Amino acid sequence: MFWTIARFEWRYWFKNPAFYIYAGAVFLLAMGSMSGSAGALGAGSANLETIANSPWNIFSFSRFFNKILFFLVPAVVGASIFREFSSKVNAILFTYAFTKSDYLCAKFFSSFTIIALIALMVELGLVAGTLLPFVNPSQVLNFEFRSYLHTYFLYLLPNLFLCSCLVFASVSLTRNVYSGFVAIILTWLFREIWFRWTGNTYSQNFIGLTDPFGETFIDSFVRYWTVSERNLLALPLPLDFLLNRLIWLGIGVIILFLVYRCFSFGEPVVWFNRTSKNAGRLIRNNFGSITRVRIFNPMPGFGFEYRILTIWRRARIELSYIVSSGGFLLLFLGGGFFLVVLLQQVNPQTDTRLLPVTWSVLGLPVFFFTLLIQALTFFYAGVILNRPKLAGIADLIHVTPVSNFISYISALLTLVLLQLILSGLIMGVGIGIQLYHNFYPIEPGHYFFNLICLHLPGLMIWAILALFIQTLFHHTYFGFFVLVMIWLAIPNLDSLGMAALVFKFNQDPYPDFFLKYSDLSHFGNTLRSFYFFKSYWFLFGILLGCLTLIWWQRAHLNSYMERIKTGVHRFRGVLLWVFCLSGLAFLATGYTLFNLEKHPDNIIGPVDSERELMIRFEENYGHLKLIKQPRIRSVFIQLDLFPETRQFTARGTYRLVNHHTSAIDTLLIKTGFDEITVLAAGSPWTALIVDSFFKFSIYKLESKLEPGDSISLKFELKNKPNALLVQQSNVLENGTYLKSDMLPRIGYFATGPIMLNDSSKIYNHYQSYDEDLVDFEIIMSTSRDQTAIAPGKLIKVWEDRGRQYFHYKMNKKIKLVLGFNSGRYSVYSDQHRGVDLKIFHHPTHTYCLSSMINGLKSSLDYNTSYFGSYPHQDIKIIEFSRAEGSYATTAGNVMPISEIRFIQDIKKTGIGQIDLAFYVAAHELTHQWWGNQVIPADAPGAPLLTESITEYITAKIYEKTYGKKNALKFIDIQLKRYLNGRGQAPSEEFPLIFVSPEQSYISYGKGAVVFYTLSEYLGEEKLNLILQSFFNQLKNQPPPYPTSLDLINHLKQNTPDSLGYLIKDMFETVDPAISLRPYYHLFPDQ
Amino acid sequence: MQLTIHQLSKTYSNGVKALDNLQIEINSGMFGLLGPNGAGKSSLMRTLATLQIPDTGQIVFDGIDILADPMSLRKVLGYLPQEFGVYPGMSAEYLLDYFSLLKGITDSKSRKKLVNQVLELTNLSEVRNKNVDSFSGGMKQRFGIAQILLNNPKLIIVDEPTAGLDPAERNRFLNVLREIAITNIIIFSTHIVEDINGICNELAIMNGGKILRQVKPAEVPELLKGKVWTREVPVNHFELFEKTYSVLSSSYLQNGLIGVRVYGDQLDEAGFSPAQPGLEDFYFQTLLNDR
Repeated sequence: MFWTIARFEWRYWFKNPAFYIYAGAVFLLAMGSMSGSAGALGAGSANLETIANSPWNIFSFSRFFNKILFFLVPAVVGASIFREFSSKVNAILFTYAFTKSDYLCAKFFSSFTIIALIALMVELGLVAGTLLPFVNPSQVLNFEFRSYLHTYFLYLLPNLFLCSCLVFASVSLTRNVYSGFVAIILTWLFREIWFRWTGNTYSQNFIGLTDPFGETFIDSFVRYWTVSERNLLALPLPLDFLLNRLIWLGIGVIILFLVYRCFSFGEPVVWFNRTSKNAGRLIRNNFGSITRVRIFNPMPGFGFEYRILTIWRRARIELSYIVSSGGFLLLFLGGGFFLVVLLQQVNPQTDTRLLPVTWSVLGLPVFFFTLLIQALTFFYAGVILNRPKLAGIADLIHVTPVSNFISYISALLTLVLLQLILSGLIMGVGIGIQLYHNFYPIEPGHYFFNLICLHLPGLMIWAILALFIQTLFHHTYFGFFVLVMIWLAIPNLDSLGMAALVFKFNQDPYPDFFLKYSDLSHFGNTLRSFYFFKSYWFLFGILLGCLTLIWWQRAHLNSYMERIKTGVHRFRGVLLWVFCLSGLAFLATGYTLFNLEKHPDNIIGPVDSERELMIRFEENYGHLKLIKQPRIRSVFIQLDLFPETRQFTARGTYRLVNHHTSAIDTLLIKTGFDEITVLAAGSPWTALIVDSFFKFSIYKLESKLEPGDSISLKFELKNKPNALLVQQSNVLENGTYLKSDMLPRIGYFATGPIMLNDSSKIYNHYQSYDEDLVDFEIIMSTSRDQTAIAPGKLIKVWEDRGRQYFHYKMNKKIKLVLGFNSGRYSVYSDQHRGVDLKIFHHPTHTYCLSSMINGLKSSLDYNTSYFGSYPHQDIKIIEFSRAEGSYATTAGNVMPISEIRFIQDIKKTGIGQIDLAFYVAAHELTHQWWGNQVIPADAPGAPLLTESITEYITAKIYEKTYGKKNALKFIDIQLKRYLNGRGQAPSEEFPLIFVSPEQSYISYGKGAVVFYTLSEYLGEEKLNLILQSFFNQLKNQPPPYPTSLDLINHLKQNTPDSLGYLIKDMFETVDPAISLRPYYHLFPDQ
Repeated sequence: MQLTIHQLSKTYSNGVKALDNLQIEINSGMFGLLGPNGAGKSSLMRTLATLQIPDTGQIVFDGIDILADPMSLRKVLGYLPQEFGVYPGMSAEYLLDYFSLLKGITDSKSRKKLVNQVLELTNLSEVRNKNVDSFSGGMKQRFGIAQILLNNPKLIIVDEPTAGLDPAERNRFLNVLREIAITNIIIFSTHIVEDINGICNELAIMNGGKILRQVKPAEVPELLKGKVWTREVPVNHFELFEKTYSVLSSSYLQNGLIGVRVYGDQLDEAGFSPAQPGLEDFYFQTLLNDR
């Protein structure tokens, strides 16, 4: 009997087009992903460093497809068991002579084999992807059967088995086909919740075993693999992983067994929908007789009121059906719990947490949660469209005078109300968390704007699409699958040559703009283009709406031909007009946007890759590389900021000095991407080349600049006009932070890749090629309610024609690395060791001020005691908008710090979490000695003298305040940063001594660990004295600048011979097994 | 008031010709549509109820071309399909209120009054708060009638409504229909001849997507006068008998013989005795004729 039932089931699936569509789509998608990753779409389309079919990559792809396959499980396994109930065959079938076990086993086995077959298409697709003719052969290894085999049998199949068991159980016990979908979503949700919840509390091993999908073990194994290891090594199969697979297979079997025990051929075991209170004993009374029928006969009306009432009533009925079902209740609770966990989560990279400011609540958690809302929209669109038919009430409703339009609008309204309810959950949980943390003020307006005005429009457009697709197919799971495919396809339109935004359905011009909200500058200029594009897609939504109405299933239509005939018949009158008009509007808007996007005003900088640009530049101008150029000695700037219109203008004068021994007759000038309106030297010159593409020009001086002589260079510039899609200036409405990259610079700027043997570089310091140190003076203006801040001592403040002016002047030479800030600030002041400490901060961002001040004070104490006094009279910390970034830096006496560091949750500092506000202030201040007094040459290893030492000193400062345990925690985080960084780094790893500026995972991460280890071996005092003597030797040294070699030599000279190996191992060796051995030796449990 | 169906045809995608150039005129009163299962009754009913679109043909009701303007018909249409379900967890009263809203009664007080009346009329008042999905077959069928009555329909289409009803329910049901048929058109399909007898003003016999005959029930005895004969035959002779005569119907008798009714002229010589012709004889004779 088993085989009879199974064969029947297989025959059903093999005759069902859905099976071939599922399998085909999965196959094509897998093939496309693999060949895309192997460079089939042309040069530059794939990361050349990675091998496309490496065992790790095959696993990663399968992991992605695993998620898609999960949603096919309810469509196949769930539908398979449900079919008996839906077709009402069950009443007959279940009386036949087969046993429960025959029936259940056969049903499960046959439908699971179908899923397994579809899953096999993933692996086949991946194999096929490597065989396509256009792939880059250097990115494809020989076919290795084992990799696919392992992934399929140890990963995909066990996971699908578990999911099939869950779906099988929920559908057969509730007899509701949709409960399978709910079971999948809940499994996924609770897995996420579980991992986030247990993140740091349980042992890795325990968490790994509890992962139903077995990914954790593999992840923890592969985490610190480098790119080449990921390319070549076979997938690790630790014993624990196999144990995990066995455990979860066992759990699946237990679930099946429980189904077997509970299942009955008669009544459902669990009611998916709550049983109504209305049920009760029915008394039969049907013996009366009728003689006359006289009915009250009110006048029906079909006007506006009718439409509103029917739309509302139908939406209410559908919505209450959805929200009162047990499945939705579970989803709702699970989703709420998921949000709580997301909001409480600690950033694993830095082991810190942000305060629950409203935008952080509305950031990533909402991003994840809206994906859930979107998935539920796709799903419930199908549920509500198919419900009348499934309930059998369709004919009764369809013969009433309700127009299709009303039915459509009420379905749309249902979905939107559902989205609103789920958005309300976000708001409720968010405010709850804020109250729980005693965090005020609560900003309901902000929630409202974010959820209703930013997220809802996009979700509504998805709802429109979902209704269209579900109307087209009238099959909830199939429609869902198609919708997910569409959603996945949108980001990949690029590779089909449809990279323009107008092709990307419902996407935003800045996809993650709502994650970049700033309390200072809010959403910046992104909203205008956001609404422009949303309106564009709403127009498309109207088109989709018309098409949905054309396809709307009301009558019994038997074939697609008949549906088309009916559709053509309906396509007239108002519908036709609306379709044509909105179609025209859509095309016109699309055309406008398409051209707008290509317009130079809407492009920032060149679109080619930086690397390509450098190569082209060297081809054109390489011969100028060695031309001697004067140096900038003084800088005077007048900068006018217009925060309201987000524009600026600047005028400036440089004094250039010929510090060479021969005369100079040519000036090379590189300008920024803003518009240069005036550029003039102090003596006559003629332009030889003005290259507007590279912003590079060559001038011939009419009279040569003799050695020791100087010449002035005047310039005026303003930002390119801000456009719809792009704001060309970096001026913000509040919290502006402009940098010196807008200023013109002198000389051949393309330095190319670092060459270890380029000795000329020691004459340039690592942050510029055209200056040593400069005198600096600035007059800055901004709107009246803002404060403008730049490096220097404030000389004068005045108001003129409603604008505020500030005059700053440095009384010491500084590097030409500048910051220009403006914002509406409150000021927090303190003083320490005769230095004025000021923090210019957003009025509500007061949470971390004392931490920052403490950081400054501790840093002043520590650094002064070893490396001499602080070079300026004051320190100004300035908060800038996170729209500019989340970093911190130092320039002269100012220290611009991103707002993100002002909202750190520092309550748990000292009991496990790092006080980032303290840390950042201490770190940046240390740069006043290491980086601004000792200035390394522009040579490999420069960051060793700045970041590595600074990070080490910061750890020590941290230790002084928070104790050794917390300092070690800090070092441990740096270690992880290094190990993680290696795994993701695209380029070759250098030893510390030759670390390059972009390898911050080495200079910060490894550097801190190594120096800290050295201090443990030598003693803190001893190491600091060695650094002190190095510092005193080289501070404020004119060119040639010191290099990392100088430091290493100095360290070697001052380290006892018995420990000399430390320097070699830790600073000069790449392999962490050697370079970190001393660290692991000291702290074996890390 | 008149319903005119002109050259209506419908072929399903599986090749079945459900309606074959069907032509009929129906006047006020109760109209019975009689035919075996699969005759095309439901297809015709669904087409009339605007739920199905024919390939060709025209249907005009009271001046409304219902294929071109189905909405106008829906405003005066009552339809009870052969099989229907309801949303689970909703009471009779709530669902009827919902349907009356859908049928255009926007004033909630009027709706309440109307719903009360139809509940009373269909004898569902006592179970008004019970969920319809928990109703027995007969109660559900009465609910079906109740929803028909909500918009004072001019054209009522009921598709095999008596299937699954017990005799008392059936009676009551037919009585209600007859009552409301006085001023309206009710089209009533069935494959049970007794349903038609006595309550229909007119009837049509349908098979293979065509109307075979259209008559008034009262005319039937006259039409078959002297043509229906009966006789008892032993079981083993029956097969031969069927080949020789036009057998209209047969049934086992208590004495082990088979009672047979046949159609023919002057069969008294062959041992038949004349029988009083009935609607059933007419029905079978029509179907036989069409073979």
